[in-house]
Amino acid sequence: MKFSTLFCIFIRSFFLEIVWNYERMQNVGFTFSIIPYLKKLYKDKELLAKRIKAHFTFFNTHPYFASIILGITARLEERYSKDEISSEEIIRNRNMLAGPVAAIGDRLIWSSWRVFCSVLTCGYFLLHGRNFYNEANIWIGVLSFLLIYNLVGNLPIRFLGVYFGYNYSSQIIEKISKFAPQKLVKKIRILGVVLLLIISFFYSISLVDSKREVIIFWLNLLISILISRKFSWVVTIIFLFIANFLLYWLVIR
Amino acid sequence: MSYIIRIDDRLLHGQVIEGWIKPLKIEKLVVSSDIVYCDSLQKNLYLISVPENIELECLSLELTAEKISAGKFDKIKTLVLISSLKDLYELVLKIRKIFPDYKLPPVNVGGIRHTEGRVQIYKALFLSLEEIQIIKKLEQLGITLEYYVLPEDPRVLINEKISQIEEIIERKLGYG
Amino acid sequence: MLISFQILIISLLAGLIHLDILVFGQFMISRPIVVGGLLGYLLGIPQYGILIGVLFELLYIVEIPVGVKVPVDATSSTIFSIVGFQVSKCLVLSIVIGFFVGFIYKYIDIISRSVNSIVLSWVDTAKDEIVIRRINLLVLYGIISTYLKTVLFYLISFSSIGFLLYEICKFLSSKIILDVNSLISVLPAIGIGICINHFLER
Repeated sequence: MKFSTLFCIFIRSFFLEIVWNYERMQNVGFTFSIIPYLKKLYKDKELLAKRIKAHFTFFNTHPYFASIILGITARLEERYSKDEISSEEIIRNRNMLAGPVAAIGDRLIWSSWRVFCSVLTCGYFLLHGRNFYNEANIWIGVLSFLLIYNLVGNLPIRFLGVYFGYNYSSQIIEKISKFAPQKLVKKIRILGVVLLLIISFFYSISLVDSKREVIIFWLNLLISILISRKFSWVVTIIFLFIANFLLYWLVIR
Repeated sequence: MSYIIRIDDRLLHGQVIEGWIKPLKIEKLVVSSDIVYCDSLQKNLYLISVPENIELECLSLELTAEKISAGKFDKIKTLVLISSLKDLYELVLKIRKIFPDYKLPPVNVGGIRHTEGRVQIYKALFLSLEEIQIIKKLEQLGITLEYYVLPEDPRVLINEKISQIEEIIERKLGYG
Repeated sequence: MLISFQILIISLLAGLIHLDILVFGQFMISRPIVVGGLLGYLLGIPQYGILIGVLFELLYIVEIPVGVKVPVDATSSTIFSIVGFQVSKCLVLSIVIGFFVGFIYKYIDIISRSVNSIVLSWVDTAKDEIVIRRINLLVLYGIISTYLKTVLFYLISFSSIGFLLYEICKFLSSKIILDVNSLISVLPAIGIGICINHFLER
């Protein structure tokens, strides 16, 4: 596959979740992304249409890691065009990979990396203290969030996914396991907790003009940890919000 | 019994990890599928997609039947993943061969997705006429099937809706 | 009081921001912290933009799109709260109502995802020569339908809920007196606690 086609697939993969539907989920996005290489492989219109429709079936995985499956599928289609494998094998492989890849992606990116980047940015702002909204530079915070998140998480995974998926299809699992995604998740989470505690400590120091606020801040923190252990985040927020509101309205004047 | 059997044609995926392990305090995952059992690439992929403190076993239907009948999954909270109603039927037959009176807990039908020939019944449940026949056979074997996607969702008892579902499928496929 | 032209411009901009969630890229431009900074700056209230942004970023921090789950929409909450504050000058009330707007948008999103299934058969039944063209048109449909749905949502909700917000604020500000500054300054703790619990799990 020429680099230009690979790059085309990479760019199209940004549309992976387009027309997301409950019936076949990411089928439109996936098909749209793989079309450039299908066009190169199959010059016969009938065969091309058949391959496209074969891919227009149920597919769902993590939007960034889907690029790996796009690369592997491109390689599989190549083998199909040489009559080495059947169409069912391509679709079965594609769908069997989608599940665990989604599990890795959801845990590593949505559940850990994105949350961690949010923590970093909020931390940048909160470390300016109680008056952060007047003192912090908005653009440094916002732009560094976008740059750090995308340059480490989004863009490399999408591009290298297609590249390695296509060029190293059979060894892709080894390559992913070298990354040790679960250990990475653990490290990010531990670092996240440490950072949150540091941020809370320094932020509460800035509240020290009013000792009452410091106490209420730490009470809120502890109670929210305890409530969210048993209940959902919505319940935690509503409960604590009402509690704080009543406290400030009825008690504190 | 400390194990739950879940039918999900995507077997192990994000929602199972994020939405099932924590609420039910699952400590062990069993992927029960003859296809995965024979595919070392799949097995290795599952091993890296599972969180560190969760035990994972990839077994064939025969081995799963043996372990269930021997009570091997009764020690810690286990989630047994099966990819289709057909596989569940085979599994039940194998279990009953070893242990004829074995009573299985209610089976969770968590996700059977769209392919040609299947009709949408619920948000994550698409069934074909062939599968309705399998459900009838499972009912005769005394298996309870409950549809719910996440543990906190309301449970739909499929056993009570068999004829309703059959009607929907026949109607949507144009059988009159 | 915001004039209708400003509401139109903000709705059109919001439509673009929402494309980041599903349609194109997931670059996290739709996150509260980015939207807060951007919208606050454009409306001339950057401090409040960032304040609401940080608050919602922390409150919504564990709401993630796993599988078929449609998360409660943080973007619409943030946008609505900031615009709501600009209109009513009631910070706490704007945040509370903004929080519920996120739920409303989530349910609208679920409906539109269900509607999307209908257009698939258009490609299934396409003749060989036009399959690719139809898929390209579907992509265009995806972009335009999401954009228009979002713009319409904001136009309607700004006019209706926004108006309600303004009136309720006028009514309550004489009845309820509280130290908003102090209340707001302790709220980040809630989000931080939820996040610590999330990281410590498993």
